[in-house]
Amino acid sequence: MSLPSKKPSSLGFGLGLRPPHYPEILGGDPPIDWFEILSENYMVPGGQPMRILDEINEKYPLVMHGVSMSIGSTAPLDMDYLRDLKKLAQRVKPKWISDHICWTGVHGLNMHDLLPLPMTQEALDHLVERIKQVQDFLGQPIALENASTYVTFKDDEMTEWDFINEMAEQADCLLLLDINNIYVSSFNHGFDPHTYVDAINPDRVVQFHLAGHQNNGTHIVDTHDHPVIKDVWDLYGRAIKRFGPVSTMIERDDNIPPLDELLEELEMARKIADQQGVQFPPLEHQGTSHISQKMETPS
Amino acid sequence: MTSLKDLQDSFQKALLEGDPSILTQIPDSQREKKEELLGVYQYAYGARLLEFLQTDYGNLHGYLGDEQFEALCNAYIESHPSHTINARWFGEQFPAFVKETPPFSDMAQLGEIAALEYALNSVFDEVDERVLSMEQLAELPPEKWAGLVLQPVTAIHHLALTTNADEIWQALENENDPPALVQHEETVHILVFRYDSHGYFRPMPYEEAMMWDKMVMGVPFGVLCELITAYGGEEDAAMRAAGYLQGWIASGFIAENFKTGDDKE
Repeated sequence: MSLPSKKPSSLGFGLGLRPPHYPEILGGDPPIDWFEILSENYMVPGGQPMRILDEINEKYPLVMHGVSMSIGSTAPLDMDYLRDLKKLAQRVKPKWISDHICWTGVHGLNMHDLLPLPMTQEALDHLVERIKQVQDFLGQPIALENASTYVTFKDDEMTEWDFINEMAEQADCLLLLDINNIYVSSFNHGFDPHTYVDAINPDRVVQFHLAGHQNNGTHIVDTHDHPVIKDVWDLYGRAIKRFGPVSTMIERDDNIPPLDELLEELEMARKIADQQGVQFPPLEHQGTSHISQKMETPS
Repeated sequence: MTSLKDLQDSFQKALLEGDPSILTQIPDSQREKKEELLGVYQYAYGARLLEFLQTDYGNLHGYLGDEQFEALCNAYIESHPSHTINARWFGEQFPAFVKETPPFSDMAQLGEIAALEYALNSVFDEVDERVLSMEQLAELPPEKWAGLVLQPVTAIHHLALTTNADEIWQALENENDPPALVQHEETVHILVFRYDSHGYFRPMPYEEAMMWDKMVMGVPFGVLCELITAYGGEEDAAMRAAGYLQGWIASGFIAENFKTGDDKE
């Protein structure tokens, strides 16, 4: 088994960086160990977004998370995008760079969505080749995230967890496991989310996402606009026990609540990790570790 | 087995054109029909692009109301599938589209509100540049002034308005009722710029606007002074030109790099 030559060390408990929270983050010292930025939001020429990014980067470790790599598309890799991504990475010096196991468009168009791939050998081979090209270009391994999906394909030849394990192994890349997305896809496609979590190779996983969703009864839509639900917290407990001290974050993309609400969710994640007996190593970055700072948790 | 390429072509057609062919590749789930499940992606495509436009053109949205704004956006989304990797630029062609597309083109203020919103959004995250100072310019020998070619910073836009779109926008921004439409007899000029990380605009007298446009085109300062003289008369023409220039420099509108007539390209 080959392993990524340098699996980044755990960062602790973080949040997705969102503009409504800029003042509190810059003006105070909220108990957050690290932030994930949406890469595309900072792939702009300059102005306030870049100035604030530089300020936050001085205070906190950052990871970069993109939505436009379209790593699974049959269209050629967008080298302009990758050049801009590399340029941003040179400025930010993130702990790692991630995107999604999906495609976003063909024929030069962008659907601005994380579209599903068939779980076929052809798709796997295609994906592995493209990941290798991207990693070579960026000069570092990338982490890829399982996307929520609403359809499967009749031609599927393997489970999603087998597909992802094979992809990570063959491409020698890292994994970002979105615990909510596992739950959403398990509901939509009728598999046991525990089977998924138990099957993923722990050696590849560098990050967890936790998020909320919208349950429409017959299917769940991954809206990232609600608090994390109990079933997802339970799944996180199982995952953190299996995978150990993996960098964990709350990902809220819409209906952004006050920072305090997200900090409560983050504290819940800390509590669950603690209950599972998972000890996070001391943080490497400068400044105060916030891991020991306790807050009130939701009842 | 359907190739990955054919599957993606077919899936994208389902989103763009509502083509149902991809459904032959998708099974029902245990709880839901495949049409409904594919519909999640089809709905999300339009909803997401609409959201991009709502974010970028919030005051035009407020002016038109939900129904008309969504009709306008849907027409744009249908005719302008996204070629950009970044949502930030999806609405780049929107002001021109509003200006040119009936029936919206019959209401000039709509395209002008959109152009103003686009300009304000653009200056927000434009490139950061070093700007010219009066001290730097004071070091220029007097004989070089006539050949001085200035360059504006990128984060600035000159808009020529035929309506009171700026007043309508401002009222909406302040959450007030918009004023009645005014169709100007003569074009009104405004300059949209960035100050302390935020976008602002200010009116620009016609003479200043003319000088600004010529300066942007690379016309040397000596010729700009001649144009000012021709437009507003010889009396205090040099003072007026110097006044405009001083105002631009003090406001950080001029990039640090300037050329003089004897500079080599």
